[in-house]
Formats: sequence, structure tokens, C-alpha cells
Amino acid sequence: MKPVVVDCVGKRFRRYRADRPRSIKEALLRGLKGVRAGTTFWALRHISLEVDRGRIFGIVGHNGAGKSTLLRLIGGIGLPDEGRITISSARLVGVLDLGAGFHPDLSGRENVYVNGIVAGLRRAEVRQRFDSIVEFAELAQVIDTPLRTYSQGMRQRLGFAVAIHTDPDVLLIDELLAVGDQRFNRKCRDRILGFRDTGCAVVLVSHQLAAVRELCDEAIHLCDGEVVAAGPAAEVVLGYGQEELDTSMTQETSTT
Amino acid sequence: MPLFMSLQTAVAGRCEGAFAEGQSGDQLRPAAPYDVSVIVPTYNRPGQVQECLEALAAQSLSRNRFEVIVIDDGGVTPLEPVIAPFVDRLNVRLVVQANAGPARARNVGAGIARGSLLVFTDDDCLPEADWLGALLDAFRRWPDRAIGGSTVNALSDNICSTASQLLIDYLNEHHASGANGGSAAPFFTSCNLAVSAVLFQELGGFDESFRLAAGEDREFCDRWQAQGYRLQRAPRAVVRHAHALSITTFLRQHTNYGCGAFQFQCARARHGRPGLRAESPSFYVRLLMYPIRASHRRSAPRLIALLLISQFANAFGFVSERRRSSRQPDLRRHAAPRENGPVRTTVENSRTVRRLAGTGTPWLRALYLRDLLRELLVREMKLRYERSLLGVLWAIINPLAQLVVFVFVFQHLLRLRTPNYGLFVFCGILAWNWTREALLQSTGAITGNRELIRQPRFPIGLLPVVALTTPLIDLLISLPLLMLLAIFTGDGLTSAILFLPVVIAAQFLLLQGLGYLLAAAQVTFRDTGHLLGVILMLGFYLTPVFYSVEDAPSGLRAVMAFNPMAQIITAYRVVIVRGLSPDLRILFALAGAGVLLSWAGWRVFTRASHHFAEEL
Repeated sequence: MKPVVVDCVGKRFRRYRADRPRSIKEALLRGLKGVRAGTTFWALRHISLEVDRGRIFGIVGHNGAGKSTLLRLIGGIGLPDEGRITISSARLVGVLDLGAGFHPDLSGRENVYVNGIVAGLRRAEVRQRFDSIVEFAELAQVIDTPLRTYSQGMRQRLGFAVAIHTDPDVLLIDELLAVGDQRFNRKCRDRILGFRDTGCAVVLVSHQLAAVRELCDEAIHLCDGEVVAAGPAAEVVLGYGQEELDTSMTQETSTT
Repeated sequence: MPLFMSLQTAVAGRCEGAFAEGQSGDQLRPAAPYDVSVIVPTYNRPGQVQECLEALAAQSLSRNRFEVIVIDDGGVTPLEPVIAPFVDRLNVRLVVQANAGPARARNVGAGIARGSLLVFTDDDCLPEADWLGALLDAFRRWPDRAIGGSTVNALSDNICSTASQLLIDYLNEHHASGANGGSAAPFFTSCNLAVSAVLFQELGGFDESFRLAAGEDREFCDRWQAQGYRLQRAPRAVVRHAHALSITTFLRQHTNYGCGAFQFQCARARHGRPGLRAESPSFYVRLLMYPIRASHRRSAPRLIALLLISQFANAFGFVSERRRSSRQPDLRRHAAPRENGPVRTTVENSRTVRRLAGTGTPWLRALYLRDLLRELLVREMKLRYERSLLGVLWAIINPLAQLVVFVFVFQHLLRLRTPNYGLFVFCGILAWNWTREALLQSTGAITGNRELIRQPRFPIGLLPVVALTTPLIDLLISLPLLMLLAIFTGDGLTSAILFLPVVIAAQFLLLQGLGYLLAAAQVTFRDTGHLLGVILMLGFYLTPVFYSVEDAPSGLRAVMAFNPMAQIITAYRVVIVRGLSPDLRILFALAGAGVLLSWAGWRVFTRASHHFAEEL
């Protein structure tokens, strides 16, 4: 049984109308039927994929293609409207929003504890790994100062460091290969490869085609919620890059 | 890993060497070169493994007639250094497997065993010197029976260990007195069990779907008897069980037994056998009386309490395992043993994975939720008083300031003639503040924690609880002050104060139910919060916070009969100001309503929670 199996999944969203009731008063005045009415559209449709242990799976596509929605569904946030997602893993960790539970007024130390426990660790486990987390984030000097004094990059580094210290069986990463400078970025990638080697299944969403080509074994290309290409990462990325090139060319020709 | 492997082969190699020396000249060995293979699964207990091996090295049975196989179930510390010193004294081998539970570990051991009798014991067991001899004698007489030795608790000072062993003894005695009669018993524990290697393999070994050290022995013995084989006691084969338990590990053990009992039931169903009957009430009565009979007179009350707790833990484990498996249809449907390790969870249209969090057993999950709740509460408290000089003192200063204003306005300006007005109104202020803050904060519990909602497997249901517990902490901080006020200005405290937790619990349940409803409503309709503000303002005047029910006009009094907060505040005052026991009928009615409301709120909340992430 592969740790991540997505079987013909679809997700429908409501398309909000401008006149949708936003308050109880409006809803009551208009009769309750107004609340539910409104058109829907499929944000994802007919998506199937499987990720085995020790594999990295990439999802590429334009903005709004449904990549993050898919990743969230895999993470169990929201339910698919059709199809089925099976996760057979004890520890699923999603790096979807870096630093969930981070608060600017708490110190880096306190935030590591909150974030680590929110990510699924026991308190004692965070304590054990604390030094290693701080070392990875390279923030030993400032760990006791409030988070509001940190730069954006420092916060991201701290969030990422916590996320990768949770020994995931399944790791979901959304657009986070851009964390930190190039050296830190390299470190993160090495860490992800390390997870792969210990049998973790990784699903990652990225716009950086080079990174997807380098890291992923397989990939899918999403467009308007449907899979337009699937297969070895290099091929999918090549096709996507080509399409990207075509559209930008047509745009250029149309503007000139 | 390569280092691991080479060490392992080195140890094994040395064993082979030692063996070859002992049996020099004997080139071709028969299929079973040993009479006995002792199989010891272990997990993270290097010290105890050493003691266990020490006891095995001291067996009266000649060391050439038995081998010892230690299976490391994916523990953290490598065991090679522990095993190495025994290589010259025992035919010992070490196998390392990825963590998969003791059932699989024993099967792995049995798979490579070369003895004709398999003997199972555990790392925390100390066999007595003639243990193997006694088992072997019994095996010679009854080669086709499973043989169970007797297990005694080695830690008689440890009350929890004693209670656990007492429970096993009781079960044995209970079964022995049953239909089977004589010395046959329906199950033997896997820490002192011997079976023929051939029959063990024929039966397929232990059921590896049992993840925990609980229930797998019972299931095996059940299958054994279903195949028409019998069980045989060997009272002379004694193992001293040294499992040091604290109250926490005791609870965990019995929760696990409950899980195991459910898995046992599933396993029976898979083999097409009927489920188990629940034990009769007399079973439990006799269980609770057992410590007295078993000559533990001195510690009998504590033992009885522990046995009682153990049965609740067991029921909790059973029920939560059933819930867990009903969310994982795969587990029930397919008879195939699961793969190593990971716990399966399934998302279907109407099912969801995130509320299972990332942890395996119900017990671990409960511990995780406790950690999470504590961390979120601490975060909340820290944030509230961060960068304030007086810090947590504000939790007392705020209600005190309110108290001063109220006393001034209502006693000195409006001349309310309630006796001991200060204490009277302080009760009202504390209870009302909790209600107000709890409702306001739980309304924003979901909308204000967007990034937590988007965390995979975050237990969202905890957020409203956090929201209403933080103001409860404020109340608890002010409580000593209230007590002091009662002692110095009122008639003093009476034993009625013992009812205070009940009042608080009733209020908690009511608030929890409302909190879930409000939190869910706020996600769709943001005016819930505004509306609540208005209702709370009205509620403040319609609830006897600063006046007493008796002072209210009769029309309003009829309304108050249906205002739960009026009843709650009255109960506080009866307990603290008057020192009398509150009207228990009303209190329990309120608590009951709270339970119902919490249940309904929880249902609504979980239904709605699938859409939270989309709507935020």
C-alpha cells in the first residue's frame, strides 16, 4: 500500500456572486434559499496519483491551476467532493503555511515549541530536538528575542527548521523551495533528499521548474484543475516549460 | 546501517563459532539442533534485556540444549554491546527489525529459530533457574499442547505492577474455574508461553495486525484452541515479571489492553467466529474483591481502586479503538495482516483524516492532545500578559476594580440592601466574566486562527476548548481571593465549598456547547460576534450579577428560571456566601443540559469543520 493514494478526486467550490448574503439580516430578508444558491465550479477534477515511500512527487501548473487545493486535500484539510484520498501513514506533516501558530510577540524559543507541537510533536520531542532545530535555522544568537525582531527570511528559516524536524512519513511542501538564501536553500533541498532516502513520501508544489526537475521522480502538470501531463518529472517539466514559452511568445506577438 | 549489519553478523558469527566449538566433530546437524529456542522481543530496554539474559544464562538446563533469540523491535539504542558479553555464555543471536510490534518480532524470531520447542518471554522477565527444564518436561509429556508457566510479580513494592499482575492472576483463576475445568486455562500470557515450533508455524504464528503488546497472546491461544489443540499449565515454570509501572504507564497498559481486546474481537470476526460476550457484573464484583482474598490486606484499598481504574482504562481503549477502526474501513474489511508500522487512515467523502492527528494509539493521542492544549493555553496566557509590568496580576486587578465600582454604585449610591454585598457581587462578577470571555473568545476561535486550521491533522475541536479554558484560568487565579473574602467578611467557608468544582464543571459544559455552536456560526456569518455582544450586554442586566433573584420584579423572576446563568450564579452564591449545598437537582439538570449541548455543538461543529479551510 503506497502511503499517498489519490483516486479520481474532484473538488467543487462555490463561485460567490456579488449579491450573496453576507449577514443573517440579509439572508433573512431574502429568504434562506439565497444562502445556498449560486453556481459552483470544479477546482479539481479527475485527479489520480500515487506516491510511494522514498519518492518525491512534483505538482506544477499556473497560478490558480489547483495545485495548493490538491495539496491541502492530501493534507486532510477539507474533503474532496468526489473520489477518495487514502493516506497510510502515522506521521503526515505539511509545510503549507510556514510557522503556523507563530506569534510576533513571543520569542523564537516559545514559537518553536508552539509550532512543533502544532505540527504533531510531543512537548518532550520538541525539547529533544530544540538544539538541532535552532542550529539548522542558524538562529542561535537571537532565539530568545521576540519574533517581531526577525526578518522575513529568518522566520521562514525557523518555520522550515521545525517542519523538517518532525520525522514525517509523508511530507507536503507548498512553494517553499524559495526559503532563505541560496546556501540555506541548498540545505533544505539536501534535507528533503535525505527524507526521501529514509523512505518518506514527499509531495511538492513549486514554480521553480529547475528544482522540480532536480528533486522529483515523477510529476503532474495541472491546468484548470485537470491533469494535462503526468510522468517522469523531467518530461513533464519540459512540456510545461514549452507551454509556458508558447504562451509568453503569443502574448509578446499579440502586444507587438 | 552497514555498521549495524556488520556488528550483527559479527555477533551471530561468534555465536556460530561458540556453537561449533561446543559441538566439534558433529558436522551435519539435524533440522532442530536445539531442544528449545527462547524468543525475547525487546523495545528500548537495554538494561532489562541484560538482566533477562543474565537469568537465562543461569538456567539449570545445559546451555547447549537451548538458544536465545533477541529481536530488537526498532529500538533507539543498539543492543550489540549488551548482547556481546553473553556470547560466551549463551547461544544468543540478535535480530533488528523496523518497529512493528511484539507480535511480528516473535514471528521473526520463530522464523529463524532452530529449536523444536519455542519459548516466549519478554525483556522485563526474569526466569527462574529451572524454568526451561520445567517447560521442556511438560512439552515431552504433552507435545501438542501450548504450555503456560506461572508468572509472578517481581516488584511487590510497586503497587501498580502488583495490581496488573493481580488482574492476570484473577483472569487465570476465573477461566480455570470456568467450563474448561482442571488446569487448562483459556489463555496464557506471551511472557511465559511455550509451543511446539512445528505447530506454531502451522497455525501461522501471532497475528501481526496487533500493534501493541496487548491481546496478541489471547488471540493466539484462542486460535490454538479453535484448531482443536489444548492448553496446559506448568506451574513449576516460573518467570518473575519486573515491569515497573507508574500510574501513567499503568493507565497506558490497560488502555492498550482495551485496544487489544477490540482487535481480538476483529480477529475472531475475520476467522468467522462469534464475538465475545461481555463479562457479567459478578465478574467485576469478584475482581474488585480479589485483592482481599489474595492476601493483600494491607494495600487492598489501593489495589481495588487501581483495578477499578484499570477497567475504565480498558473500556476507554476498547471504545477508542473501535472508533478508530470504524474510520478505517480497510482494517476491518481485509483479513490480511497489515504492513509494518504505519497506521492507516482513510479519507472518504464523509470521512476525514485530520482529527486522528499524527499519533498511533488512543493513549498517545490523548497525551498529544494534552500537550497541545497546554501549549496553546500557555501561549494564550503569555500573549495576554506579554509586555505588561503587572503581568498575570491583571487577572485579579480587573475583577477587583469591577468589584469596587459595583460596591460603590449599588451599595452607596443606589442603596441595595443585600447582606455582605461585596462577596455577593464578586461571585457574580467572576462567574459572569468567565461566561462573557468564554463566549466572545470561542466565537473567534476559528476565524482568529486561520493558520492553525490550515495545518494538516490539527485537531480543530481543541480551539473552542482553549478559548473557554483561558478565562477559566483567570477565574481560578481570582478564586483564592474570593475564598479570603468569604473567610474575612462573610460567615467563613463550610464544607459546601466541595460543590464548587461541580458548579464549575456544569458551567464549563454549558459554555463548551455554546462555544462550539458560536465558533462554527461565526465562520459563515461574521455578525454572530456582533450579535453576541448585544446579547451579552442584555444578558448582563437580565442575569442577577449585581442584584439577587429575590430583588428582581416577579415578571423577570419567571424569565430567570429559564436563564441557566442565573441558576449557575445562584449556585455559586449558595456555596460561597451562604455556605450551603446548592440545589443538586438544578445543578445536575444544568450539567445534563451541558452534556447534551456539548454533544450537539460538537456534532454541528465537526460537520461544519470540513468547510472551515475554504471559508477562511
